[in-house]
Amino acid sequence: MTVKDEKIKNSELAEGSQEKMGFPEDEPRIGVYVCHCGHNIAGTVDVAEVAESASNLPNVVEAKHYMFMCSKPGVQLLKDDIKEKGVNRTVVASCSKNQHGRTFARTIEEMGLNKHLHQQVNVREFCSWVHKKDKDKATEKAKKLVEAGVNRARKLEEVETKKIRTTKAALVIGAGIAGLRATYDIAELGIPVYLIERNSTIGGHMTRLNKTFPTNECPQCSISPLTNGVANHPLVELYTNAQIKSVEGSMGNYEIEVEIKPRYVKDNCTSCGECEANCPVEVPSEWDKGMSTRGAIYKAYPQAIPATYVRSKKDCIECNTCINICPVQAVDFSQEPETKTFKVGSIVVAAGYEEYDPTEIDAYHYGQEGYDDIITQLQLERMLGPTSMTGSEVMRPSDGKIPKKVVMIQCVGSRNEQVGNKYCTGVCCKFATKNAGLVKDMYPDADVTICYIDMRTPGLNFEEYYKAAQEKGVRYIRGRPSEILKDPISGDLSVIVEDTLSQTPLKLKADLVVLSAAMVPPEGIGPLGSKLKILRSKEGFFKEFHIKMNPTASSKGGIYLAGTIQGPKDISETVAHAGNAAALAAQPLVKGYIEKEMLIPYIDYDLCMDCGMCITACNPAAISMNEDGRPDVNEVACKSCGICMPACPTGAIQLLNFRDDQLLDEIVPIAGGGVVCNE
Amino acid sequence: MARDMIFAFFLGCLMPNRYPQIEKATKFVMEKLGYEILEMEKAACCPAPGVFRSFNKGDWMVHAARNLCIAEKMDADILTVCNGCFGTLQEVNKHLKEDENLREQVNEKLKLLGDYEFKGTIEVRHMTEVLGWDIGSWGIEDHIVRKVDLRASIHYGCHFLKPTTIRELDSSEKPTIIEDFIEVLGVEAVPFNEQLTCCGAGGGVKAYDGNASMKIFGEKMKNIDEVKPDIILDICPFCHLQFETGQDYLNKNKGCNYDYPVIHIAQLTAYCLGMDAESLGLQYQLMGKTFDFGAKVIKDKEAA
Repeated sequence: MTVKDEKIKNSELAEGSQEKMGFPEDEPRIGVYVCHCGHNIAGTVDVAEVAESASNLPNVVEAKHYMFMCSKPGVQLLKDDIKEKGVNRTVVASCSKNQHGRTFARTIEEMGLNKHLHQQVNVREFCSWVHKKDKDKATEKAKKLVEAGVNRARKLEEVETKKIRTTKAALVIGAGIAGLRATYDIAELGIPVYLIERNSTIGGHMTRLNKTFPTNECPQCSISPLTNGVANHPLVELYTNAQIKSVEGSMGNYEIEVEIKPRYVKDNCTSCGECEANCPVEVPSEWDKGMSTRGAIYKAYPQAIPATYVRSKKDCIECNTCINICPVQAVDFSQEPETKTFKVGSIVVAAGYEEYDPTEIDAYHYGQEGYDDIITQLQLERMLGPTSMTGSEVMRPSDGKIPKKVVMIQCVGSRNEQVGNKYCTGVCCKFATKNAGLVKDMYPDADVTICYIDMRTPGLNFEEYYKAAQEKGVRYIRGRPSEILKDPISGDLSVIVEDTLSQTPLKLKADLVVLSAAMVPPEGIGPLGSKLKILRSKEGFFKEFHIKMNPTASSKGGIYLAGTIQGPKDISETVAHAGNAAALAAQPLVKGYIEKEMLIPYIDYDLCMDCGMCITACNPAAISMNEDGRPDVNEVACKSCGICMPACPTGAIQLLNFRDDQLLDEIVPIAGGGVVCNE
Repeated sequence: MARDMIFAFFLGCLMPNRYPQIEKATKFVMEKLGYEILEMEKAACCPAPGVFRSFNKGDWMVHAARNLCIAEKMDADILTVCNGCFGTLQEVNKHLKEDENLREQVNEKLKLLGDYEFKGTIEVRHMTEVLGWDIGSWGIEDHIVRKVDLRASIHYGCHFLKPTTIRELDSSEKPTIIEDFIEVLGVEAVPFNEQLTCCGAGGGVKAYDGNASMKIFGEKMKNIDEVKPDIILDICPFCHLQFETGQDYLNKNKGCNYDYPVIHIAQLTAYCLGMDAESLGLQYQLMGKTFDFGAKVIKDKEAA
């Protein structure tokens, strides 16, 4: 879709309101309100003095200070002055615009003023909080900030809000527990969902677990109603072996290209398994974390959805045995990849996590030759699982013997600055406790030890769960093991750790060592992020919009985050998180429109030289050349970022309420006063 | 960048006083390999990374910087065969190169000591690193005149690799640089339990608390004795001292009967490159005075 097409499409989608645009005709009558914010501001800044000084500024008709401007009586002050004193612009000096700017804007809107005629001045984060030690200077600074706000308010323009129609469909990326939950919740609101999964089956990590804490329930039993429900939902279109190729458009109207890799097995497959049974190839199973093998044609696990077998082209030796043996002729090597395009209003990203690969921690020797008996918790889960190669027994990979001494090591790849992961995964204490307890149940004579830095089992049921494991005889040692040693003579493993509670260095003999590896961002998150154009946190996960108040919105409008792609979570948290993402993603689709403020740039065509610098600068590609060869702004695609302004060599393009002269007026008092330039 | 194939040889304190044979062996090896080795006039103590740094980090840096300045004036990278000297000089060199403020502070103090200014133009190299990576097992092969037939327990020591974020050399948990290099000399590395722990000498332990030092060392020797190597191979004169006097101490006081020859990587390499056994100076060491390397001559010495 070209920018021009998009513009036409978008202008069809946008509906104007009755609000007017531009500079109001009346003389500015400004009301200034200085908030105490309890002691937050008034403890440092002399609010009375600031209000007094503001009352002497030109066009200021009212200047007050009040304990809590965001309280009901606080906003009432604005309402009363608008009604009784004819105030037509407001300046509130309190917290940040993000925090309460909207509260006051909404208030003046209720009183019939355009909400953009409110100016927020931040004298808390920008002043009182950072200058606690110097009250006089803080007060002086607050006065300047308020004067700057008043200058800005004097020239504020009215901006209208338009409604943008949305495409009633959603795309969910990833079919693990988060993606499935979000898909189902959106579909149940009557919205069609395209569910994209890059693996050959759905269900994600949860289907690989043996049991789930704190109830030791069978995860297959918990998740299969959802996997079946999603796979059979009339409003869900499921695509496995599929990956995002490109993402176009903006909030409310996205167009996504998806590449679907062939399974090389047609849908008439009866899942009889003859093909795999006769396949001469044997490779480690990815799904089983290498704890079993699969053929080149295979089904990841018995309950896999879709049940259709899949051929791995890279492993296949093309002996054609499967083609010949299939009783229903379902195997078809001639299938080609196909590309599909979906139009949706919202996108939910539920791409999940990956288990940290401990090979980089040399001291633990994971994956090194001769250290086969060091495995990860996910590998242990696969060993304990009902369909495992060991018949659900715990066996040492080196010799198949049942271990008598099992040592688990916590925080492998978590809370470890050396490997660049400072964060606590927050789940490992629980799953290690679960697996240690299960091993103890199975082999009561076995020694099971967990070495930890801190046990973190908060929340309902988890302290009890931790205690239950202790009662079963699981031994907890507080200390981070420095290394796993292999005796060069006997070949035995031992874990070197200091019991920091008794300050005793220990050398724990271990037949099997299980590493509680961290949850880390999945492979491919980088390319996916750049296609979606959303930000990542420094830990590598996709970054939420606000950690407390908006943990499921991404940095881009219309794209939401579900589950562990935003950070490590357990299943309960993932399900709740995904449900919230689904609700937010569905809102504009149920409503049918998104409201957008037309805070967009205007072009003075007398000054414009048609050089196209603004077009090059514009990230969301909202500016294009029109038929007359002049730049034109697409008001729907515009993100109001203002990057076009510095790009323009003549100052022809000016963002509403951020025009050069408006910003200059604001800067002057902060920069030390002087005459306001009226050029 | 300093000049190629030329090193300013930083002797340190222990080696020239207690083990001049290591100094001799180092010069022999480096010259055989085509390097020019220069003396550093007026070089002082590095100063030791454990003790000095713990008491006064600022002055520790200034003194180290003074040594670095001497090499800078010679336009040559520093070569050391001691983990302690390497630890101090490499670390200070790196900090001063990266931190402009620190460099200014140190340069201010350096003025008091004479005509010194740290410019950051050289590198600090440990001989092990030069042998392992610049020469490599592939490069040493042409120079070997004798191949030994030995099983060696390798002791890396602490300061050579740690802290890894500053050294940026090899893994401190599973290093292979020495093992990879000595294989071609005919030495088989024999791993032993807790191989990478401290020898008990550094960090002021040996001087301050001899009992603790010997306790750490006794543990180390017990682990080495389990695998019965032919020699103990080290890369640091201080570890060398610990392995020498420590074995003697354990024999005299704890009823042990150790006699493992302690060989520095410079001595081993020198021997393989043709230095005569007498010059290795084992007869002046406490352990393995009459040790026979059991070497096979693979090249005519004259031809080499």
